[in-house]
Amino acid sequence: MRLGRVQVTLVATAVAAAALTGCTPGGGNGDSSSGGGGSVSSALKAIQQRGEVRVGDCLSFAPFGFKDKSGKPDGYDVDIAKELAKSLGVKLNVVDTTSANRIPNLQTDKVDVVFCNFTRNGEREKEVGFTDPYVVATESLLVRKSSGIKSAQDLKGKTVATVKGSTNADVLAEKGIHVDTQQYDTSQAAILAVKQGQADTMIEDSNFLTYQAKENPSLTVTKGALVPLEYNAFGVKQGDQVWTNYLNHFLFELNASGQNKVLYHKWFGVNPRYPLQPRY
Amino acid sequence: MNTDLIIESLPQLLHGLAVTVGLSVAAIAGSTVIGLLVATARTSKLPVISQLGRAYVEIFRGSPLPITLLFIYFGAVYYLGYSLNLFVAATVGLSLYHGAYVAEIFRSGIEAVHVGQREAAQVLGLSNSQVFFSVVLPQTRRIVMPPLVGQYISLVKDTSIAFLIGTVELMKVGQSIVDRTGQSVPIYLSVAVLYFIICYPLSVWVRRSDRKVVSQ
Amino acid sequence: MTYQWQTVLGYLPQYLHAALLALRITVLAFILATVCATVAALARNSSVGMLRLVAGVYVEVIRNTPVLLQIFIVFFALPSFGLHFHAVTAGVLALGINVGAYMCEVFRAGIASVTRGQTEAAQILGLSRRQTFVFVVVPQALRNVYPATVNNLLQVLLGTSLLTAIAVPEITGVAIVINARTLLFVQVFLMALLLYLVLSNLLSLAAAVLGRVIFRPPLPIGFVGPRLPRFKRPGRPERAVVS
Repeated sequence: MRLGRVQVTLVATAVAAAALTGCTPGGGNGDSSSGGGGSVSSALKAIQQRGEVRVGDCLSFAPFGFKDKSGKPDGYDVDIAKELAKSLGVKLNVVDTTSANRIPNLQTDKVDVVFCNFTRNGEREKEVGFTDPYVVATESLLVRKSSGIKSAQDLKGKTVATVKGSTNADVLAEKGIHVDTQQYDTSQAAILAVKQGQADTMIEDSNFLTYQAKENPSLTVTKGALVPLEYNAFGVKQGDQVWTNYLNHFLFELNASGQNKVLYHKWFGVNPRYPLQPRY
Repeated sequence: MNTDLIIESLPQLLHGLAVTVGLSVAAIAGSTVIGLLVATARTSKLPVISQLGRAYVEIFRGSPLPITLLFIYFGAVYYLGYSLNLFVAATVGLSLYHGAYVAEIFRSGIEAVHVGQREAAQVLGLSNSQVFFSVVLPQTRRIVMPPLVGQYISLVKDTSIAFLIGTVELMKVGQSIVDRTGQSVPIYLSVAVLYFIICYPLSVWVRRSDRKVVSQ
Repeated sequence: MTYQWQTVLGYLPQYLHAALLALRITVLAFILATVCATVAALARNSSVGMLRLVAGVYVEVIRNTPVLLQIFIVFFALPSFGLHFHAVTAGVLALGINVGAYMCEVFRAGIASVTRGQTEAAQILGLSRRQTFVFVVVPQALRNVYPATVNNLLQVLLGTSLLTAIAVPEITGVAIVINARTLLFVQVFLMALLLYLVLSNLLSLAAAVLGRVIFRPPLPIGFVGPRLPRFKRPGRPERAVVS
């Protein structure tokens, strides 16, 4: 009976595996480019029909996105999302996502656009589409004041808290600094880990870290950038040019009218430090 | 102890509790239906069906709930063509997972009913389905209730795992308040008390009825 | 299809590391759970009211709150009281304390199931209360509780999956990360599922073999089969335990 049970389980799993991966449109994982070049259905049209735009944001990433006292979403990203909904003339639905879920959420149509401090890079460009940048940042280290860590060089052998689905700790591997990484589900959990001593540092967007250090007096942010400037943009499903164009136009208006600067100042207390497009 | 924070967060927490209760009720219904179906399959005379039932139980009992939930949440779009919202995905995942355990409870209940009852019923000329529905099933109800309610209590607690796919139930609401304020102790305590208030009375009921069933 | 499986199978080393970690945590947490359960079971059966109360509160609180909450409390809340634990330690602690409460009830049922006839006979033969307990009750109780205890072991294994929330790189956590990187969620999570099935069946098998070896007369291997609750048919005397 023992062998029978193991056999049954394995056979069943194998059959399920074959069925699940075999019998689906697109051969298992669904191509991210919208099916059928003929009928292009843009997210823009769907949004207008639905009367609602679903924005994915990480609501555990203050002050970009967080939940206020009454549980409603708020933050810099959320304010921009509200402007977007206004310009579209539809309702806003902010969907809480995590860094690990943002691309899957896009591809499985749970959200129309992802904010969530999404850094544009070549790797990600293969899976999703990006708009123009809306905020620029560098990466710094968040450490406890008492730890004495001043730069990335001090991190050899220490523990770094990151978030599942983010590429922040990769920079250390590139520099050849060997560290122990812990991957949390949310940025807030990672901050808590640093605060409580379960991790030595967290590498993240410098805007975000400065805000967190302001809120937590026992923490501080190291000076100096770890990486060249990061251009954060909105993520959209790959191949949806109509929607991407609309969002780019929206961003252009947001910047030209100065509204983006105003919102940034509201949340971070200073004007944006870096221009949204590199000058060359 | 920051009681002001607790009082101020209470409306949010209670809202999360309402979602938890809604999720529990939906999943209890779902898992009971699935459990009955699978138990019937397992006790069926046809080997293919009973092996299918067995495979179902083995797979869902041998794997953790988060994996099931992640599968359902992301998989729905590929296999159904439309995406499930978080509440529905959590309900389906919980129903499928706990359905396996409920099926085993029903199965042993069915098998505990005296074989003589079944034979007597068949001698009296009742058809197979009549035997099952009018003779066996009503008798299983009494002995099956305590472990079944015990399983439901597990289900209520497991709604907290829907937190991992982002469902906004009590656990997630509590966690977002902790994220915002950094005060983990009073909030976790409040959340624990809220779960306890729901589960403890059910546990007491289970113990009491267990004793009653045994003493008969 | 093969390209997708190839990619995911390329991550096999990470999966295996994660599986080994999960196994390690399971074993450690199970040992802790056994200790907690033994202490709590003895406390609940003792004649000292305060011990009974404390153990009773422990069992009831743990069994009526979600294990995920308990994991968060151990990892995120205890540091406020000065107790800092790293993720794996916190995981072992939380799971051990949690399953210990369930095992405590199993142990108590096991102790109670040794019939009064045995204890009375032992006392007539002149054994002291403690001797009765250690030499007569415990060995028989152990036989009775063994299947349920193996269930608890599997409960711990499935509980390790929740440790992804505190950044323990075990199977579920690794799967989420790989999914974020490759987006091949079907293959990624099927791999994880397979690993869990393999681990749980391995543990059951090991427990069954152990059961055969340490008990005399030996518990047959098939006993850890269908993990059914035992129902007493109303009106019938309970069947004698395995022979």
